[in-house]
Amino acid sequence: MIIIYTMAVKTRKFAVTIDKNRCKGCLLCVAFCPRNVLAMQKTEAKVADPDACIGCQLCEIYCPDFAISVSKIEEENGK
Amino acid sequence: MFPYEKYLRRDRFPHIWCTGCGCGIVLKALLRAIERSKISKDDIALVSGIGCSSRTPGYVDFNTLHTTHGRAIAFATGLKLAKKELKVIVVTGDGDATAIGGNHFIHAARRNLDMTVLIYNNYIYGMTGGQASPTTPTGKKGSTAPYGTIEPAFDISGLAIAAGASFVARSTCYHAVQLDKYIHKGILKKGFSVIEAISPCPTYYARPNRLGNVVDMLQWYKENSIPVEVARKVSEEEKKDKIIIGILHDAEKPEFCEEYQRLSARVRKIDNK
Amino acid sequence: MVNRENAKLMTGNEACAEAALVAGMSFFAGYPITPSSEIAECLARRLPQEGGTFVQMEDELASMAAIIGASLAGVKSMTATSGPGFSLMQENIGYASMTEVPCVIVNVQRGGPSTGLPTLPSQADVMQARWGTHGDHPIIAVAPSTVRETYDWTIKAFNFSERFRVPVVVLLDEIIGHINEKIVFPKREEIEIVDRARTKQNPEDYKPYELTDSDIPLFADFGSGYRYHVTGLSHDETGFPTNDPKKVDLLHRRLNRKIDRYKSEIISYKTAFLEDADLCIVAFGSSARSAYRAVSRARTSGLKVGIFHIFVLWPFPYEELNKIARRIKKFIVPEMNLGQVAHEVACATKYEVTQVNRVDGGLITPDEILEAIKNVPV
Repeated sequence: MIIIYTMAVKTRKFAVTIDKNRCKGCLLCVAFCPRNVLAMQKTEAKVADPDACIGCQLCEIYCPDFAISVSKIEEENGK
Repeated sequence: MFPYEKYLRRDRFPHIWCTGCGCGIVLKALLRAIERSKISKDDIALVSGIGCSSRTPGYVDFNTLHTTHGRAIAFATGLKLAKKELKVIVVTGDGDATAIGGNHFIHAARRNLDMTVLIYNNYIYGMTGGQASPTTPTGKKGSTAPYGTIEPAFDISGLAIAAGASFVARSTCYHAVQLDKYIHKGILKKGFSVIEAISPCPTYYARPNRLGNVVDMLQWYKENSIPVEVARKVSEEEKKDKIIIGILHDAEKPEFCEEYQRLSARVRKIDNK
Repeated sequence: MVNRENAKLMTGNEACAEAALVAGMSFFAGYPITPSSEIAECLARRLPQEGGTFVQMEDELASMAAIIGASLAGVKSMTATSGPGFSLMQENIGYASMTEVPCVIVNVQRGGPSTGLPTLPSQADVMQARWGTHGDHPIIAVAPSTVRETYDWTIKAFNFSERFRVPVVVLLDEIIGHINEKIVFPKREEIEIVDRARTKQNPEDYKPYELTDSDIPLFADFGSGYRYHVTGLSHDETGFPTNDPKKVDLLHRRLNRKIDRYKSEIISYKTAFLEDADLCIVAFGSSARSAYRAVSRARTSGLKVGIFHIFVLWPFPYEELNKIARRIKKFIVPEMNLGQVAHEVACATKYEVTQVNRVDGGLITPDEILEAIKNVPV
């Protein structure tokens, strides 16, 4: 069950999704995120501050469980 | 952003590796390297032995072969020689490759057979419950070295170079981006290429040795790694117990499959004279 | 001199190598070991001429691994060794059984155990050929007794291996391997060559171990567009590991059923002089040569003796011997070991079996068998 935290806020450029089935709560994404976008919720990572994401993909590179992915949000007018 | 999913056998997930295990990070580096190499999935054979890292082939969508402990490289030798068009990649662990598999490792390197060998070196036997391995650093604990191992550890990359491998590189799970570059170079290299990936085993290496969690381990890799270019200039003292990362060896050498094809051509020319 | 008969003087080892080429073998991996090295030496010369691949590996178990790897790429592959190497190969032979990868293993038996008698014959690896690797597993073992039979049975070994997708052991011994005999080659068109059955499904639907009513799954070559998984772990029809008791039971029973079910098409033996015999000699391999001589001499001195000459040791001809035991009560088994086949004959016939054993590196002579014939309790 994939939870997508993509509240429709104009300024956000990246969407971060976490697959709860795969995440084992190893803390790596939280540790490597330079903008504190991610935080632990009991034993799983969750997207705490989606607007702060700068799309650096460190969370994706260091997640051993293929549980997190970052995708670019296309501009409203498709630029 | 990176299309990992297209390489995965998704119904096999979540995978079995422990929380914070480095296998997933190394596998991602391998997939990024394969993506960059643009080799079709049909032409890739991923061969493994036995151990945590050797479960990798089951999770990815290639021609995958999970063999017996230590023998991946010997199986891969037959596969490659029988079908040269296959890009043969071996994934193996420190114990699988250099303990029980040591004989096949050094001979395939000596032959310089075209093959990419990705060694997940987590300093321990994880699958069987944390026994010490040939790369467990002296003094560190394993379930079969409860008082700390008294054995010196293998320098796997040094072993590969001495045995004749034409491309040898080492990186760590902290330096995951360089890791995928070295794997990519290894894949493109015509010859026996070895990439050693220092990988965290939080369950059976970090815990008995009180090294903290996986974030602490990666932090330790960051602070204890030296690029090979720097290492060549500093004293032995400064390099002691450090992880030397980078491309450690890159030479042009005759490749076994090509030499065999030339031999066959020569024999068949004599034949029909 | 016109070779009208298409005959040649040849050793068993060389005939084995040439027969493998005729069978379509194009990959050999081996390691030097007396008394089988000549097979590797011959193929090191011949395979490049035939566009095949020869590699000398670092040890015998690497050779066994390499021929499985090659077979997965779709070629017919073989290795050859003797006792000590055969022991090293066992784990990977089990892997070939479990993953159903066709391959042929030639064991030119020498005196054992251990280093034993490297240059002298024995027949003491019979049980190892069946039970050398751990676990219940399918395997076939054939035992020629002449150079021509070595030629025929090496080809049949490949055919069995390809048809049933099992490792097949060709049991020679030092005598058959090194003896020079005239061999008249069969015409090529008369030789049946079998290739493994390959799938016709489109790749997305292909399951490497999908149940078929023949119990033998359809093969797909690695790198031919069928991306699938092969593992030595117990697996289901998708090829992925499973611990599900039902699936594991299904796999292990199917693997072993592959041999039991087709036994009648695998088992092979030859009988002579049994019609009126009251004593039957059961022999295989080079001991059978002496047995034939002993039988003919016994016959000329009026003794009603016949022979049951086994070609396929595993699966063993229990029922066939049992049928014979309904009429014949006395059995003699000459073999260069301490009774490995005699034990099976006793099981099959339910009778006491007279053993003629030599474990001194010498071939059992016709006289020794004749002696046993004469002294069999009435």
